[in-house]
Amino acid sequence: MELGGRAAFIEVDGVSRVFAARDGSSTLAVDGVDLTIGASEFVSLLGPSGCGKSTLLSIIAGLIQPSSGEIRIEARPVRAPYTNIGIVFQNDLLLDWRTVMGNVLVQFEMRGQKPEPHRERARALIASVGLGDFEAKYPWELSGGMRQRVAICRALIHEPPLLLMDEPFGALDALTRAQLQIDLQNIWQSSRKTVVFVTHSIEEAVFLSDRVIVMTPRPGRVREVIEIDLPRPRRLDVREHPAFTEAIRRVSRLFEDMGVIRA
Amino acid sequence: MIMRLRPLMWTIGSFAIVFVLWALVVRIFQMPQYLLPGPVPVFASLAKNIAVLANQTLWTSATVLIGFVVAALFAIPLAMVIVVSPVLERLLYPPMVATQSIPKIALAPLFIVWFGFGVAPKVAVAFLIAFFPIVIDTIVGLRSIDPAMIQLARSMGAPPYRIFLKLRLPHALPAIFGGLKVASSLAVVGALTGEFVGSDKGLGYLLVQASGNLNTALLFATLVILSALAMAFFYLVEVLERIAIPWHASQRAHPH
Repeated sequence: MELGGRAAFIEVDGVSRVFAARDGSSTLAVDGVDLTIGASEFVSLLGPSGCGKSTLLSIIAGLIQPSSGEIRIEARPVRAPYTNIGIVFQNDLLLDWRTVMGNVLVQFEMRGQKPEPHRERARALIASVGLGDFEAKYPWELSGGMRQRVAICRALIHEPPLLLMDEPFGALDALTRAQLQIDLQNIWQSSRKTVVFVTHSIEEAVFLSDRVIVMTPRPGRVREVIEIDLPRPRRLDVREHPAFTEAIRRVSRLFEDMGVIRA
Repeated sequence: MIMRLRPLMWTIGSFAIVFVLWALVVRIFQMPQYLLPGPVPVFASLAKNIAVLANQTLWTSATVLIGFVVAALFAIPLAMVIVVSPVLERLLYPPMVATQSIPKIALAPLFIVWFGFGVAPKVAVAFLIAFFPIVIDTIVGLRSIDPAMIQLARSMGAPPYRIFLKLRLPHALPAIFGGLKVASSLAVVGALTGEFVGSDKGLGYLLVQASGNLNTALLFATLVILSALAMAFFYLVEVLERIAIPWHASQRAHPH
């Protein structure tokens, strides 16, 4: 696997997952996925709804156990929820009874640590995503984009080396979405975290990623891995770059071949 | 200030209209006093019997309060246990639902046999009738949390007890208060039922007495006190709710 000389950070080794339904039937959600993700790499899992990409993300996080195969992070097998991690879901999952600050600091409370020593850092982080004036506000006083920024702060405040994102911008309007993509890229560039990003948006995957893992419809398999060779930092006008349009065209053709998009 | 006064004026106004209509009906149809007394005799009776009414109200209030508090103290932990343990759920849930199918009012005579004519059987009926909605609403509240939230907490290394205390329980509070509000009204019904069946104290006893003597004015006066009592209990729970969960949607934008 091409890692651009980076050390392997996450190894997905022959991972499959079967779900048993109530009627006794079973569904193969993820089928024999092999994948190596380098340290500080930004990788997207791209596929149609229900292709098992979210399941694969949960398996990487140790929240779901694979039916067969193994996940290794920094060469150690993952067999329980992996905690040196930040996760952002599509639903921001903010706690209604806590302020923005309280929602960010919950990261430490859940770990059984005192939040107080981290308050100053949290304040700086919240300000860095443009929410400096909203620290004492409650989630219901914020817009969808602001809420998701808080969720991102919560996933970053303990400075994990790994960030998992499950369609984090899926519920946002197009403009907010574009802004958050740029913000996320900036965060990633300055912190050099490893990011695994699940999306069903071809443009989003190509815009953000070093590599796009194109997955098949259920059961989810790796159809193709596409390197995105575009200069960073990428701005909105990167969409006019020949390499960008070429990548979009390649992925679209793959989805047509798989019958996901009918011509 | 005017905005704050306005709803109160509306309330007073609507009551005034009811009283005027009531007085008119009595006057126009020449209702005899023992069938439908007008508002004036009712409030005269209320004023005349204020000492007795106050005494009985105190008695009934104590019964309601004890029944309600004991119900909450049993129901909420029971709901927690049912949510946390599938084994205990299978063990406790069916018999609990089964006891609920018995009309609790029908148990009042049995409680007289068991607990005598004191306060205990009334508390028991109030307890039983208030118990179920609290259990059910607490269970619903504890279960309604987004499973992804639990997953997120696990990825933060939170042990189950911390997930319960910091996430599930605060998340369930609005539903728990919903159950408590329903239960607060039902506890009044329970206490009254107990007093109907066998008692020499309380507002229920007073109602039976007034009915027996065809003292309809006193009967109505007692009804006024009773509805005031039920409303007071309801609003007491609502005040507690507002203190406990100011963040909840139900507490944010009050039209009043």
